[in-house]
Amino acid sequence: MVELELYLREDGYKILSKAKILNDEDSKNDPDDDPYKSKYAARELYQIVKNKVENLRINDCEDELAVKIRKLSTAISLKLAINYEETEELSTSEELLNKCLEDVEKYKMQHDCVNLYQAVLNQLAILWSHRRSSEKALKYLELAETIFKTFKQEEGDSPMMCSEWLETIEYDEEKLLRERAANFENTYTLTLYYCAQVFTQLDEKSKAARYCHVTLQRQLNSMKYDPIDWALNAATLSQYYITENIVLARHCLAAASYVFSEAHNDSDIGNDKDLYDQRKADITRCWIKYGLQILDASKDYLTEELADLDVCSEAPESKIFSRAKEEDDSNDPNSSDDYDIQNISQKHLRFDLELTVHEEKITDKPVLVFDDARKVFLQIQEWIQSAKEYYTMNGHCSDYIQLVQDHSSAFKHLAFFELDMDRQCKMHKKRIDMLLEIANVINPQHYLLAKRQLIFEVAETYSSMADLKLAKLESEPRSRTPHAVNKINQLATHGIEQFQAYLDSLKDPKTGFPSKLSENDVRPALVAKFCMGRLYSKLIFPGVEEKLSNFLKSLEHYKFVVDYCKQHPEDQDKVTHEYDICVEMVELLPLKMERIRQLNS
Amino acid sequence: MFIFIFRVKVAVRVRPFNSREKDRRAKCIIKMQDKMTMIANPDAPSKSHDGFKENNDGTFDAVSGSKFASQRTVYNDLGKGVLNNAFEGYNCSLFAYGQTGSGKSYSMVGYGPNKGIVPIICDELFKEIASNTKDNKRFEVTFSMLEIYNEQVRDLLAKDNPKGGLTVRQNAKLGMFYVEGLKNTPVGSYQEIEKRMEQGTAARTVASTNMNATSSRAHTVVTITFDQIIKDSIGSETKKSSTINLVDLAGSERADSTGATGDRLKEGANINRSLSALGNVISALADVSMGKKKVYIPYRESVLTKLLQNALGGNSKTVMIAALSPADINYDETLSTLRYADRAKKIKNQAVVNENPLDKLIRELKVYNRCFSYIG
Repeated sequence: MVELELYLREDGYKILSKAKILNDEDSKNDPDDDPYKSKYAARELYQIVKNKVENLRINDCEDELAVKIRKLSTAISLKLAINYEETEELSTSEELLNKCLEDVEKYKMQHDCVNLYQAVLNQLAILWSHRRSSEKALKYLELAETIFKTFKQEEGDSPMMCSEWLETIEYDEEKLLRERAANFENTYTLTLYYCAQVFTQLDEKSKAARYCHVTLQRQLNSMKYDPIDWALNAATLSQYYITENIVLARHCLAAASYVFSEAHNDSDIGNDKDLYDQRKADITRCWIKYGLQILDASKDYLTEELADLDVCSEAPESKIFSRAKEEDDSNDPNSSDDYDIQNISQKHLRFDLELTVHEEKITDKPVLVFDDARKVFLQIQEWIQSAKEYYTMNGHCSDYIQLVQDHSSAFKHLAFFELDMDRQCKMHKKRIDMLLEIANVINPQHYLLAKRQLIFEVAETYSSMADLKLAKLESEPRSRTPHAVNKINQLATHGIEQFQAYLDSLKDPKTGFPSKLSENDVRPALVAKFCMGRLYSKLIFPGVEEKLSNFLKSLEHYKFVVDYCKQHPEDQDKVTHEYDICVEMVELLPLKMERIRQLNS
Repeated sequence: MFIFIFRVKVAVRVRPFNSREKDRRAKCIIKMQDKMTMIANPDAPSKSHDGFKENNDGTFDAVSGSKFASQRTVYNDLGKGVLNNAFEGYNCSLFAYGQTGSGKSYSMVGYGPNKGIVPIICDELFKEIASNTKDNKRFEVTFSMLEIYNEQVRDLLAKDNPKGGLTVRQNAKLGMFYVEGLKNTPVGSYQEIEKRMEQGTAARTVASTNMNATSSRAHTVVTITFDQIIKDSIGSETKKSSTINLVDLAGSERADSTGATGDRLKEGANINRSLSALGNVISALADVSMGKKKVYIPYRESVLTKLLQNALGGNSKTVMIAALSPADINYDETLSTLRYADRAKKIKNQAVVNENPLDKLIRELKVYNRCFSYIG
C-alpha cells in the first residue's frame, strides 16, 4: 500500500496529469496531417502508469491492496477507453470498457467506485451509439439510471469522484463533499442527456422530450448554465410541446422568459449585444406561435363542441388541450417516482421558478368567446411589434415577412370569434393591406417563394371577404343596394386577379405555364384555379351576356382542374375534395348556362 | 423526389492517386462503370461491396469515367449547365464537397495550367458576351470572393477586414443575404477575373497538410453577378440579373459545428457529449412540426447557409460535386462522401444532431425553405 501511495505521489499523478493535458488540451492544436498526435502520446503515458500500478500487486489474493489497485487500474482504463474512442479505435475501446465493468462489478455500489461505474456505463452508451446500436446504448443508460437512483436512495449522495483516483484533491472537507455531490449529479445529468439523444435516434419523441425537459430542470437546479442558451432551449422545447401539451408549452416559455431576464445585457462588443437582441426576439417569436396556436386550437375545440364531435385524428389541434387536462387529472402512482423519467408526469416537469408574472400574460386553456380571443390577439400583436424591433425589414427581410404573416394569421383567427360580419371584413381588410404592403416592396426575383405565398393569402382573403358580403346580402335582402353588389364584385375580382398573379408566377419565362407542376406547387395551383372558378360564379351582373361570360370563365377554370387531374392521376389525391366539386360543376354549369339562355331568348 | 424547391444535381469525381497515397502503396477501391460508382471495403474486398447504383431518377447525374476526367470534361458536364442557366436569368450555385485533398479545389479552381470550373466558366462567360452582336444589349459582370472561417466572413479581395469579419444582412430590395461591405468588383474580361482569383486565393487562410499543400479549413465563395440589360424600341431598359455562386467547402473530415469542435463528425449516430449541444437535440424534436408552419425554431443558422439562400430566392439550380480519393486508406471518408452524395437527392426528414457542414447546410436550407414553400 505504501509503495503504491509513494509511486503515485512521486510519479504517477504527475504523469497522469500530463496525459490529461495532452489528451484534452494539446490535441486541439494537432496538425491536420497528424490529428491524433497528442492523443497517442497521452495513451502511452496512461499505459505506463497502468502497467506500473498493476505490477505493484503483491500476490494473487484479493486483499485490500489488490482491490485498490483494481479500482485504480479501472479508472485509468476508462481514460484509455475514451482515448481509443476518440481516435476511432472502437473495438479496443469496447474491450477496455467491458473489462472495466467486469473488474469492479462486485464493488459498484461502494462509495469509491459507484461514480466510476456510472462513467463507464455512460461511455459504453456513447460507444454503441457510435456504432448505431441505439437500443444497446439505451440498455447501458438505463442501468446507469438505476445505479444512480439506488445509490442515492440507499447509500448517500456524495460518493467519491472517479477523477479522485487520478489526481490529488486539495479541498477542505466541506468543499469536497459539495464537489462530490455535484459531480455525482452531473454524471447522472449526462446519463439523462444521452438518453434524450438516444430516444431521438429511436424516434421516440415523447420520451426524448421528457429527458430533454429533465435535463433542463437539472441544469437550472445545478446553477450551471448560460442563461441565454438555457432560455433558448426552453423556448425551443415549447415548440415541441405546442403540438402536444399546451400547458407545458406555456410553462417552458414562461421559464424561458424568466431565465432570459437573468442574462446580462451589458456587453458592448458588437456581436454579443446583437446575439442578446436576437435571442430575445427569438423567444418572443416562440410566444407568438404559442398565441396563434391557442387561437387556432380553440377554433377547433369550439367547432367540435358545436358539432358534438369526438376528438378525432382529423382535427388534432384540440388534443393539445385534452392531453394537458388528462395529465393533470391523472393519479398514476408511478408518477410519484422522480427517477422514472420515461413515465414522468406533468406535475414533475415543472421548473422550480416563480413564473406567475410570465404565465399570466396569456391563457393555456381554450378561448371560447370574442373578448377572450381578443385578449390573446392583443398580446400576440404586442409580441409581433417587439420582434420586429430586431427583425427589421431591411436587415432581416425573410423574418420580417414571416412576422407579417403571423400578424395576418392572428387577424384571421380573431375573425372567427367575431360575430359581426362587417367587423370581420374590417379585419380581413387589415390583413390584405399588410400583406400587399410587404409583397409590393420585396424584390420579386429573390423573394419569389415568399411573394407567391403572400399573394396567395391575399387572394384567399379577398375571397373570404366576398363570401362574407354575399352572406350578408342573402341574410338581409334589404341591404341589397347597388353599392353592396358593386363591392362584392370588386372583392371577387380582386381575388381573381391575385389568384391569377399567383399562377402567373409559376410560369417559366420560356415555356410558359408548366404542363406538369412540381410537387409542391400542385395543390396551391389547382386550389387557385378552383377558387377562381368559384369567384367567377359569384359575380353579380344583371346582363345576360355578362352572366354567361362569367359562367364560361368559371367553367374553364373548373375544367382545368379536371383535365389536369386526368392527365396526372398521381396528383389527384392532393385535391380530392376540390376535384369532386369541379367534376360536378363541369356537368352542371353548362346546364345552368343553357337555362339562362332559354330564359332570355 | 426533391424536398427542396430547387433542383440539386449531384456529380461524383474521382481524382488520381496523389504522392502520399503512392508512397503508402495505396490500392484503388473505386470503380466507375456506366453511371455507377462502386466502392470496395478494403478490409473485406471480396465480400462487402457498397454499390451506388443509378435508379430511375439518376442518383448521379454525371459521373466522370474510370479514365480520370479532364478539367474540360468536368466543365462540359457541369459548368456549362450553370452558365446556360445564368444566361436565362436563373441563380445558380455550384459546390464542391469532400475530404481535404480529394480534389475539390482542383475541380473548382484548378492548379497551374489545369484550370478548374470557376475560371472556365468565367472564360466562357466573356466569350459569350463578346459574341453578342445585338447593340440593344449590354452586360455587366461583377466578381467577389470571400472566405468563411470560424463563422466569420473575410473579403479576400480587401486589404483589411474588420475585426470579427464582415456583417451579413438581408435587404428587401437588394435581395437575399448579402455581405455588407464586400467588394463587388466590376470585371470586363476573363484576364481581370483571373487576376482577382489569384489575389483572392493567395489571401486565403491555409493550413498546409501532408495530404495536399493547398488545402484549407475555410469555405471559399466566389460570386459572379451577371446583369443583362436590354433596351427596347422605346428606349426603356429591363435588367435580367443572375448570380452564380461557386463554393469550395472546407475539408469535410475536420468540420466544426457550433458547439462541438474537434469531434470527428459522422452521419449523426454520435452521441454528443457536450451539453452545449442540447439545443440541437431539442431542435430536432420540434423540427417535425415545422411542416405546418405552426412553430418557430430559433435555429443557429450558419453564415454559409445565409449566403447561399441567394440560391433559393427564385428559380435556381444547384450542382454539387462530390470529390473522392480512390485510395483504400481514405475508405471511411470516401464512403461518407458517397453516402452523402447519394442522400443529397433523397433527403428525408431527419434532423441530425452531429452534422458535417453539408448536412447542416442542407438542414438549414430545408428549414428556411419550409417557411416559404408551404402554402395554405
